Amino acid sequence: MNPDEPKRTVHQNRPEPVAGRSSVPMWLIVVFGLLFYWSQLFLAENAGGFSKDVYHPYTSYDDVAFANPQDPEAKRRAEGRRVFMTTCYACHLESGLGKEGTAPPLVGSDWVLAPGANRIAHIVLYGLTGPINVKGQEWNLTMLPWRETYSDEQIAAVLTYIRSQWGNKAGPVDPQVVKAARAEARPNYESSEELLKLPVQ
Amino acid sequence: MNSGPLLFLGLFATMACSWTGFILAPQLQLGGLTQTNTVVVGDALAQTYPLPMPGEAHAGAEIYRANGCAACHTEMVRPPDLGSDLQRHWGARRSLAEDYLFEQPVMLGSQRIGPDLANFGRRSDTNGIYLRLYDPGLITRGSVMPPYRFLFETRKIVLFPSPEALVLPDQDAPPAGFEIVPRPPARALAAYLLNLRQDGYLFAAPPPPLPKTNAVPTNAIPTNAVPAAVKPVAK
Repeated sequence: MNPDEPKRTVHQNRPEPVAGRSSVPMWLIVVFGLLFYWSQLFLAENAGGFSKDVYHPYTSYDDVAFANPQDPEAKRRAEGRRVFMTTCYACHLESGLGKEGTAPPLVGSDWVLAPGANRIAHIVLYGLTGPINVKGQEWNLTMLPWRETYSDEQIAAVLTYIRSQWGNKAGPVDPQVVKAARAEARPNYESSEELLKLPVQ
Repeated sequence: MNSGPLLFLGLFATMACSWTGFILAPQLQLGGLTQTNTVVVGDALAQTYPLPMPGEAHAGAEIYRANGCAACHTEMVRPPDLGSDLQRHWGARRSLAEDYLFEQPVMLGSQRIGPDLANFGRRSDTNGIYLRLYDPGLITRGSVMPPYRFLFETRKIVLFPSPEALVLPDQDAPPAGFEIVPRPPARALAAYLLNLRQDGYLFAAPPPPLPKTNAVPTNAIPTNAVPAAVKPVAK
């Protein structure tokens, strides 16, 4: 400590500095207001409704939908294939031909190609066990029920898929058919006698 | 400091705004993305897209990350009117959020010192990738990419040469009786690069309308741009 240095004094009487208040200039408020207005216009024009499917250069969901191929059936077949290739193909195979000791064929099967899809919908929903005649051959296997796994739309899609694939030519399946079959609340595992009692719609 | 709470509120509001815009809004918009079906024209069947990466490609993603490939290469194709990516055949369509569903972390990159790699798997093959990694100048003259020779090893040929041995021109050729083969990291990296394919049109990026004539469309993808053959070593 330098003895010659003058003693420091504490300014006891000086108050703590205080930040004052003043009003925001009107022009700044106007500028920010205009910026906000412009940004909202920009979002309305370019944000595509914040949809996850709208990317530049499209500006709205309708634009994107219009640019897509217009074929609703193709969309359902695609979903059906996805379900089929997740679950069904393991036994019925991608070719739909099935395999001895695993699953009967779907290609050309009367069960699949019936005019109404309610019997096949029952099989997918509630499973199947016991003897069943497919294309003149007797099968005695068990198929699991899928009603807990897939929705009506998904089952209708996969039925549409197997009815229109591999040379099969049967009409598309309405989800309402699956919904009606689900509403019947039957026990697990249909048998072919029970199925044959169902009317073919 | 009499306006501390006000200052805190201002800072908090600023952070909250940017968090909402940069994290919450994208999460609400894209957080629920799942695999979808590709869009097809005509009777072709849709495929599930994207598919999870195979295990070796996963390991390769770590090699890609560790070697800083993303410092010079991007993995994103820009939309048609923002840059010339589609004209350069770097992809058939722009990149979408779905393309990165199974990437962790997503290595988009920011600088294009090298070409975009979003669809590199569509235009290269294993051998071409090995040659590029060993000596980039062999395939692209004047390439500024550094060689990654530590991904390879020179070893003595025992009994017969490896089918994976690189076929190199004279200036790079190993001494007689030796061969240069990729080490496991190079194989993993090649698997990752071959897995970089953003193919399949999705709903958000639908296929262009079919051409009305038989002429090849200007944006057609070359079937396979295999790098020019390198002169084989005279045995």
